[in-house]
Amino acid sequence: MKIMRLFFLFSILFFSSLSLKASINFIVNDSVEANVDDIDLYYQRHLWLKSQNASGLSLVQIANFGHTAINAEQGSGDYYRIQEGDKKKSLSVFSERFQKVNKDWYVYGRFEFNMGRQYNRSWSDVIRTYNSNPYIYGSSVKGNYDFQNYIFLAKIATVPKGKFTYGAQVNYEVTDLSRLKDPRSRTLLADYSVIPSVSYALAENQHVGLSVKYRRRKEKTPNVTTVQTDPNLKYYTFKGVGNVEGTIGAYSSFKRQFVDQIYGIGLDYHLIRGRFKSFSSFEYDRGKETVYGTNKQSPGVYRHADYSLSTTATYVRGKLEHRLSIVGSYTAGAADEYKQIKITDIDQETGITSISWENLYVYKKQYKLSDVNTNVNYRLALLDLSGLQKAFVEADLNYSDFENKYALPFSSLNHSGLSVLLKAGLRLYTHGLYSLWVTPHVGAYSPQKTALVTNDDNEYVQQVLLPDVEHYKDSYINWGGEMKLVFPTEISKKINVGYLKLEMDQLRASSSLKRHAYFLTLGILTK
Amino acid sequence: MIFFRKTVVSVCRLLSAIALLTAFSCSSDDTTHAISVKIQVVLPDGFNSSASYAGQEVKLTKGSQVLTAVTDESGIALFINLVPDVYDISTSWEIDGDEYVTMIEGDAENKAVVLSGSLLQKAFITDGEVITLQTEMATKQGLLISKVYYAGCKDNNNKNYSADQYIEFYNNSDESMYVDGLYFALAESESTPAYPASSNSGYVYAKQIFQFPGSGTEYKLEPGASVLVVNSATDHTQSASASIDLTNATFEAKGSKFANNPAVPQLILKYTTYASLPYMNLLAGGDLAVVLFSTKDDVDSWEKVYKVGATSGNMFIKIPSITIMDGIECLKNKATTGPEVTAKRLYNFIDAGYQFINSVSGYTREVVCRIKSSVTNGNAYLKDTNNSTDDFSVLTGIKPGLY
Repeated sequence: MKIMRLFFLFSILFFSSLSLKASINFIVNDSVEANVDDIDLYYQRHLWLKSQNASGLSLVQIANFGHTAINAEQGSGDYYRIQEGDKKKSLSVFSERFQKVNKDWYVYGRFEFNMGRQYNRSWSDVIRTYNSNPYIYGSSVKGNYDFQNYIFLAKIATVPKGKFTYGAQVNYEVTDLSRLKDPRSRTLLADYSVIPSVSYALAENQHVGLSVKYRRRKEKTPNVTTVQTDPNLKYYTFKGVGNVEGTIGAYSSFKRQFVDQIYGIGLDYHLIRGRFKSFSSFEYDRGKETVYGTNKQSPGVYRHADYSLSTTATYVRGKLEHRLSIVGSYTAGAADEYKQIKITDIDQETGITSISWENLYVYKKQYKLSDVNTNVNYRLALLDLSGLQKAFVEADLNYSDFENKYALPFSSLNHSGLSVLLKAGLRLYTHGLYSLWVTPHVGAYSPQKTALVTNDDNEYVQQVLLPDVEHYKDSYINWGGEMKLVFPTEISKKINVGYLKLEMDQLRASSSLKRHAYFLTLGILTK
Repeated sequence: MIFFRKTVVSVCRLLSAIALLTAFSCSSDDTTHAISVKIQVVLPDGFNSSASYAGQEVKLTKGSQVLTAVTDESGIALFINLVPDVYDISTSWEIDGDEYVTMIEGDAENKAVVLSGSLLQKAFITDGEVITLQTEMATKQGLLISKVYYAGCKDNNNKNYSADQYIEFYNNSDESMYVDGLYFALAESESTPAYPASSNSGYVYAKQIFQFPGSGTEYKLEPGASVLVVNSATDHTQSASASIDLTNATFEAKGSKFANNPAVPQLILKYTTYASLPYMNLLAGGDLAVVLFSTKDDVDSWEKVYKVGATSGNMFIKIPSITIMDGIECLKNKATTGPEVTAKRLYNFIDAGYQFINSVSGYTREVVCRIKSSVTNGNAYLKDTNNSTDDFSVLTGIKPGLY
């Protein structure tokens, strides 16, 4: 409710600046045209924008633009995984701007703030619960979690210097996840990346890009506090799949941090041939994540390699625009588990005690992860005489497959599934600067395989893994839609365009479980 | 069609670059595998060559996990599909008198004996490794430490309650005895062990020593009976319904912190390193090591020392190991790493193992209690192999006098 009140407060501020003004179009000098009616389509057409290669900013000539929006979201239902809770409310604000600074530089910046609450979540006090570092921790008691998240992204690019264009991107993210019920944890995240890049013109309208990345991600829980007096309250630490240790009172003086050092490389290829455009991107990241507790005790280390391949192609013929997007990602992870012994050295002369932990044995690749996600999206848009879209149909196909394995004693969890989503958009009404869009959608999910092998029958297996397996085995259908009202607005005597979007998604599983999600977005686009 | 063909061409160009980049990123499978280990149990000196430690159970303990295997004719226990790790190995065998005399070289008294052996924190890493486990003849004691209740509980207001802590001693023999003048001590329990077991096996370094009162023939203990020593011999169920009634305690450590019972004889405080603590200083989560000892020496004259390298602070009294009749090591459980075995204060000949309550902080009513070995003529005999890992278990809420 608090989030909805904030949202409506912002909405009142926006609506107070409404006025009827002339229509707005971004003028595009080159091959990209943007229609302010559909900012999402704009992102899809500026193919370099979502790549980590910042040098491509200046390769597509577009007018300066800004986009600010506030979004409220609520999702709830009984179709969920145990560690993610049954309900979520959030409010997010973001603002981005693309600007040609002078004759030599292009910049792009984005700021995003998210806040919200997850309800009835348990067995995880970390930000990444699934398919990542296995050394997580948490309490079996359900509780609410508040989160706040700030994301900053900045890109800068030079104009082409001969055949080369240079750029750099910096990302910075901080997150705070606080549990509101005993035992109370507070997890903090600082995640930054620096990505210099270069692109080279192979020919006219044909470019290749190269980017290198350094990323450091640090997540820590400095302590866990409690005000309750239950003497039998356990706190759990995890090692992978069903291997969990719970100790009474273990939350007292508990602390842990994850530090992930990631190096990556990206390759891009951009091609324009008449009415055909394509952009392909490959990114490879390799990381090593150390885990430390009190006195630098360590349960193990997690290494991962992440591959991502995407290609987007558009083709315009007459009044029809085709767009095909294929995205695939693969993560291979492995964790070495440490058996450590505490070394206590007492200086015989001074009595000073030194404590350290040494590895007695290393279990190589005790935990392994494989996570594949592929998505194919095809969209066919119908354009009007101005080159603006007035209708579209879209099909989205997604395949996901993950496997978690623990070697000794053996246990594993794997699941794969296929989902399809069909969407159709229609500009129902246009009057001057106003327009109304409706976009219904329908989808389905079909689980392919799900299997759990455990070596234990502990509380975590009973309360989390077995219910989650039933969740994975559930197929579902979902349906819903979106309505968007586009309207003009004036700010500082300048004409801008705002939009108000309402989305809804309903899900019903084969087990009769349900989930509902509602989204409300208010945005403005500026020159 | 042109659209899709051109898309495929773009993707293929990129894929070739990808293949080159990722060719080096594959790695071989070097996952840890299970191993097999053999434990060769060796009999003590004095047993004839035909004697064999066959058909007996050998245990590997890791935290709460216990693995067992039975020895073959050669006294070898084979463990297969073992996860490489650090284990505590233990074995014990109660031999009746008739069998005992056939196993010993020369003449031997027809008496029941216990053979036991243990190795703590043994790392099993190599497949096919053979570990030798030497057994010793364990001396059966008459008077044993049978229960240590240091966890405490929560009172009726859900606050921490430790007034009901106690130690229980049990007559495990067939004969009555007098406990007058016997001593028990609590080993030092500094957060970083001041004198761990690895330091000096000749002594146990104690923070407190108590003595049972009596002139020598005042406090008789029948077979199967207990001596209950408490800090407060009152009915604690009034303040904490989860607690126990200790009004029938044998001795009480009098002090102003807890309510005392004038009807219960006073435990004599012989030494305390804490001037303000005249009662038993039992830490609710551990560490706690208790030793029972007997001596004719003047305990007050025993040497007292600071911890190594210190010239001020707590002083600990040195108890000669030769005087010790029984002991038990209770370690503090640590989250994620379990009890630190390197923090043991008692040497293996006093207690070859250790115990710990599940809670890291206490107040859970957990009691470290010796296991009943057998019952004869209505008398319970408690297990005594000199290894608290095997001889004790942790139970919640068990009352004094019950096993």
